[in-house]
Amino acid sequence: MPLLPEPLDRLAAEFARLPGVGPKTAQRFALQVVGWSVDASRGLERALADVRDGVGRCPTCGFIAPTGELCAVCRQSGRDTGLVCVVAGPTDVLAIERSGGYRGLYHVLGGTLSPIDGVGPEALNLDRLEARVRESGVREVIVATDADVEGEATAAYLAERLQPTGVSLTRPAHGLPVGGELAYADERTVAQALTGRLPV
Amino acid sequence: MHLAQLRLFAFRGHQDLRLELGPGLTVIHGPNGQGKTTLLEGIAVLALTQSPLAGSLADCLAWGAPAMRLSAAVAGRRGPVAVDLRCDRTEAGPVRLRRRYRVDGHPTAARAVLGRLRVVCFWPDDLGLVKGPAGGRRRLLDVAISQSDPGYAEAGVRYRRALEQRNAALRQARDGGPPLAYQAWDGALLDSGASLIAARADFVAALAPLAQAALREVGETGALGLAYRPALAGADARAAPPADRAEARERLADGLLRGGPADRARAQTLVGPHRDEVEMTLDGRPARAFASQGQQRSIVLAVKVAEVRHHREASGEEPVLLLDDVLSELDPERQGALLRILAGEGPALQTLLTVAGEGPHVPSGARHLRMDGGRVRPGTGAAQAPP
Ligand SMILES: [Zn+2]
Repeated sequence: MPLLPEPLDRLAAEFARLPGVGPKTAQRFALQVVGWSVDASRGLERALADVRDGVGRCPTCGFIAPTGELCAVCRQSGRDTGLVCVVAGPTDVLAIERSGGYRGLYHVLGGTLSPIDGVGPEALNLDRLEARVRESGVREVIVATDADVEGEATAAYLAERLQPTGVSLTRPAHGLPVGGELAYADERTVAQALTGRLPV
Repeated sequence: MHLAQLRLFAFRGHQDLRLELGPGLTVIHGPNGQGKTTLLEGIAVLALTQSPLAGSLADCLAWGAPAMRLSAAVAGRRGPVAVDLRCDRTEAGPVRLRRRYRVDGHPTAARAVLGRLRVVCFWPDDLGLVKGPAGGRRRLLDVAISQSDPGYAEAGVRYRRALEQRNAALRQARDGGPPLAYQAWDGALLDSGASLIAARADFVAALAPLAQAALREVGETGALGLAYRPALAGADARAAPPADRAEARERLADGLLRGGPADRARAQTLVGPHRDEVEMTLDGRPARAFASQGQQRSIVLAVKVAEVRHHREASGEEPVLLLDDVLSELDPERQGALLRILAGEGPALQTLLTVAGEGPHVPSGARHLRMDGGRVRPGTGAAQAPP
């Protein structure tokens, strides 16, 4: 006979889908929910539903945005629309915005190339980027993927792909730790990395 | 340098082994299966940040244990250093480890551990170094160089990763994926690969004369040649070593470009340091084909002695020599020659020698330990008449 009621195991299985949450942690989370008030559990249900229905990807840059709308960055006036910083994920945008030194726009790839995980070029938000560069007067693309092997290869692939458009392609010159993730770098490091740029 | 203290906790069969050691020769006696090899393996893991005997460090975790811990106190020229590795099993699925290194109590990256404890390992399998597959000879280079050049180990990690990704992209191209996406990995492969090639060329050039001299001391008269042959030029053709990193990068780039069609046909990368060779010759002829088995063993001894001397020259410090049950595999002449050479290296060289059964005759002055049932105590364990 199982030790715990079935709904609890089911909830733990749902938590275990989150990154970095193993089965033991998921079970601990699920046990926390036992005894919650109706208000508390309704709050969680509502928040999940609101995110599901109301939050999606920005149709222009791929950053997080209200469903069907442009993201906060793309909507903001005074941004340099000729400058696009390409990053792997939304947390990279948050890190660069926190640093406060960047005034251009973004393009979120939704990952980096990794054939061993089955992630090829077709799985990344690349067609949209190419269209943006061709159609909307972008003069410089900063490729700010990580300095690890996957980030470098993604940058190389992007450079190859965008080269015919004639856009200026750059890469942060220094400051991002090798193999470190942009999202975890401190604000000054991020700001410095984006000021010094080298051609790809 | 020498290892002053060692602790192995939940490392393979060792539940909690603690050992105090000194410079000079220590002979570790005991029947097989008592953890003598594992003891040397634990020391090697602390020095190399990986096991030279296991594919994955996860294989070293004692069965059912949630975590293992290896610690060493190293006495060196610049004072004592405490090196510590703790590996915790991750929560779910197959055994995977989360590693945490500390040097003198401060958390550090694996690369900062390399060089704190330098070892030269000599396992029984190494006796096949001359005749065996090229991987064994590449491993010799990797183990030696990564301990004196942390950048080398890092380049090795990046290279293997880029190679794995490129090969996966080549397989996807074969199976109908984007045909040229594999080239995106060339830059990472070149940057890391060129570093490996240049460092290997320097190392073999430095090791060759040391090995030649050591071969004479072992008692062979022939001239030993060691030459680095990087795989820069397509399937199985091995070239002369480049003069520097820039030349290495240029020639590797050229090799990858020319090798493109062959790589696509075979769906794997056929050029690069993962296919390098170290050519060994005796009097100008390939030692693997022309040297007798005895001569081949002498060459291995000479290379290992050269490795010890190279560490000393490169760092100004003695490495720790780990000899796992090697003497019993050698004939009496070569046993004698090896022990004589080691004695001649001076009392500062710490040598840990494991011996099964009665074991060979070792010089007086050696310290003897006996390992039995996971415990270590002084003595050979052989019945000894009082003097
Ligand atoms: Zn947007």
